[in-house]
Amino acid sequence: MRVVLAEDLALLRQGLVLLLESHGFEIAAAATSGPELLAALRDHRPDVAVVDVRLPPTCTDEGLQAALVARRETPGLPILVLSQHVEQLYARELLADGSGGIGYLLKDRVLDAEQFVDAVRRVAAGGTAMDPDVVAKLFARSRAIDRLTPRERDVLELMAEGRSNAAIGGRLFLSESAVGKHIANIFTKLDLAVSDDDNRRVLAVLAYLDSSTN
Amino acid sequence: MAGPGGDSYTQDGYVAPVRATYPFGHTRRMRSVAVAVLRSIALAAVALAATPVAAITLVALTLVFGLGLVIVLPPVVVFDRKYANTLRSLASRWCGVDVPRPYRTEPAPPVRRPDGLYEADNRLHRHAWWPRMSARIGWALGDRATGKDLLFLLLHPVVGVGLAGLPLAALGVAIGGLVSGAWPLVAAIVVVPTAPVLLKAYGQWCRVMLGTVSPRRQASIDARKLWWGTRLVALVRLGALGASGVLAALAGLYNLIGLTAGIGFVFLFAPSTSSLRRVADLRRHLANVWSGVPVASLYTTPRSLDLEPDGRYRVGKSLFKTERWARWAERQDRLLKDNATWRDLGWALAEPATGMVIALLPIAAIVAAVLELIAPGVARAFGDEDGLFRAAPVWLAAIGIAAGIAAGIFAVHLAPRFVRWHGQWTAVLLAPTRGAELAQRVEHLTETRSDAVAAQAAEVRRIERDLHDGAQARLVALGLALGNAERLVDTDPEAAKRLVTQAREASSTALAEIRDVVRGIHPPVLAERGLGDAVRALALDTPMPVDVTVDLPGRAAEAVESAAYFAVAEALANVVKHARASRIEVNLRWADGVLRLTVRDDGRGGADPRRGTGLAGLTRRLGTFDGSLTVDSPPGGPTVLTMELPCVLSSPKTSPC
Repeated sequence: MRVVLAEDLALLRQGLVLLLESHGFEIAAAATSGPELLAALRDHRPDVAVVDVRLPPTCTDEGLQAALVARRETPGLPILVLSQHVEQLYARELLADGSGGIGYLLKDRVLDAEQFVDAVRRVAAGGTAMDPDVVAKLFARSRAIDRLTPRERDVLELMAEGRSNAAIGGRLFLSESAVGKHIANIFTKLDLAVSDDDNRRVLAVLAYLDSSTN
Repeated sequence: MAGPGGDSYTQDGYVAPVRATYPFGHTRRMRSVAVAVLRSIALAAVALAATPVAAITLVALTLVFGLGLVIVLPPVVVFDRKYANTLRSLASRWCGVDVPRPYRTEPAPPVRRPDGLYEADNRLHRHAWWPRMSARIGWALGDRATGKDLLFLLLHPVVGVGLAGLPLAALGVAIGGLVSGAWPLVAAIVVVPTAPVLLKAYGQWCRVMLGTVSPRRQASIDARKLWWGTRLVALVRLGALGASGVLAALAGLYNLIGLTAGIGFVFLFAPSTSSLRRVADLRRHLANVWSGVPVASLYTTPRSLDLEPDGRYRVGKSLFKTERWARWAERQDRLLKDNATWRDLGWALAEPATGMVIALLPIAAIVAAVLELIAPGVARAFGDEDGLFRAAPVWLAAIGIAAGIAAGIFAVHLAPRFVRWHGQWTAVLLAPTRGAELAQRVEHLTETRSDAVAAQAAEVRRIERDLHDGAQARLVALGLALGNAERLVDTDPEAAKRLVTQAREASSTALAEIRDVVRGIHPPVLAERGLGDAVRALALDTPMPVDVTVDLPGRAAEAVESAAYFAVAEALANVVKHARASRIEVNLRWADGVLRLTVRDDGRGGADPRRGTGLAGLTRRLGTFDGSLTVDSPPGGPTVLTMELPCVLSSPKTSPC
């Protein structure tokens, strides 16, 4: 699996290259600035890109802007955005086009290599990886979740992060069919149309949580 | 065409028999004069009838405006109009002058709502009676023609009778004159044939008073009214300003006594200075609102008392045991050293010779013109051998009258300008000096700077504590864990692995803590996106719907953006904590060098910046940037916080990192 990486801090860039290569990824390019990243994305058309929000030359949100441009040019281009802080504002912008293959995680998540690599794979496969912080903030603002049982809330939280039924079941020590039942209940309670497509299901849940503020 | 008394030829040579109509023409003219005289007599009677109509109207208006009996207004207006309409049709039929009706059409009857009620003046009524009455009162009062009709009713008995009654009077004089001489007869012979002309004049008079007015003419009438209105207002103001000069002079004298009359009056100094300041402030206010000359009021503010180690208070080089006396001495000292005290006193004492002269000059000119030129001139014309023109020829008196009128109009014309000059003179001594302004500015800056420095120090202390107790401690733990793991990796790999896991968790927690600290220092989204998006991000993190509208054409300086961001954050936190609101609106806009942030909520209101520490903190935070905070929060809400920060905007940041 070919990866384009963008991170301006040399130490972290080396670390990420090492981590990804040791998990069988092939690093197509490791960019250090916004323009470099955009060029690399255009030239290499990677299977997935891992991008830091803040990149030279302006050190504002170059990485995010480059990611948004690249996804406009190539709809569905899988990109995992990393940042020292997560903002719902940015999450909205990344999810706005409604297609999958998007991830938005705190840089801290890199520390848990397995989880991180799993997220990269999920995004590369067209899935979603939302940081638990973003999901928690959505939950804090949403009035919908009052209607759910604590267990259903746990399931919804993991689902909103973009995890598969199997992963949710593994995390919560539930069988896959029990997870499916919970999800069906959640969808009924929230008046959402049930979809077999995992990814579309996640996007619908995120959009729903984002809009149903109290 | 053929004129009377002249033959004329048409092209085919036919001679018109003009001469033959002459005797017939004479009879017709005599008949028309006779008819005109009769009509004049009738119209004079009609004109006299205006008096009772006017009397009834005046009584009705007394009831309306004196006792509030508004319901009599529409019928009496309709009654007046009936009289006026009679005159209009008479003027058309007898005087040959068409007088169009200027009235607005009557209001439509009130509409019944689906629920069976009627609406009037934002209230619902069960019956149509009051809505109908209300509409008719508005209709009667809102029409210019109503007032003009009344004026006509008051004038017509004089003017109408004068015009229409002249032929009758001439006839009467002639009949009486047959006994006493030939002249009245001659007068009658001259006047009576003019009856048709007078009749026409009567019709024209009705047309002027009762007809419609073209929009252009109405505009010129309005302009004239405005001209005279502003002059009248200016003259009244000048009178009041002149009177205030007396007040100022008295306050000045009182102050002077308190200042100079020796030890016995030393207690009068402070109160007399306060009195004078009140008068001066009144005049500053008048200069602002009447003359349009803003004059700021700026006096030195009370200083805090210095406390000596032995518990006594120090003011200058004097020491006081009690706070009361120290305060008294401080006030005395402050008033004496304030430049404005002396300027006020100078202003007050000079006022009779300066401000009052400016204020009263136009009024005096008008009074003098009337009393010294016009009145004696008119008296001289009637043969009075007293006054200014007692020995002068009549032409000189006429010049005197003309000069008087010219001087009066000149004074009236210039009155508004005198009001302005008066304000400008007030500004000369009562406006704060540059020095006083700078002193106040220095005081303000000193205060806000010490606030800013204190806030900064507290902030730095907080950051230090957060890092020291949080991330720093975790990094120490992390280092220890890694050291132990290094030591154990060969002998006890399992334990080493556990330690590495612990170390990873510690680093994760440390990161989260540092993230919080960074957010408190300068939110990353503010650095990345600027104020607008940072506030949007803030709104998304607020557990309540927040509508954000942003109108910022560029980026403010980093420090200003940061102050604005934290001000909004604090305001939002306050709303969430105290307001019990269900919605918040945040608006950011920049115009004319001022960044304006408004936070509006639909909560319970009653926020008071003097009570809450949160709002006081906001005021301090903004004060460093010469900003301000205004709170509008009536009990029951809504609350609107408006924060203003003067600043310039630049194009979005492009500097390298």
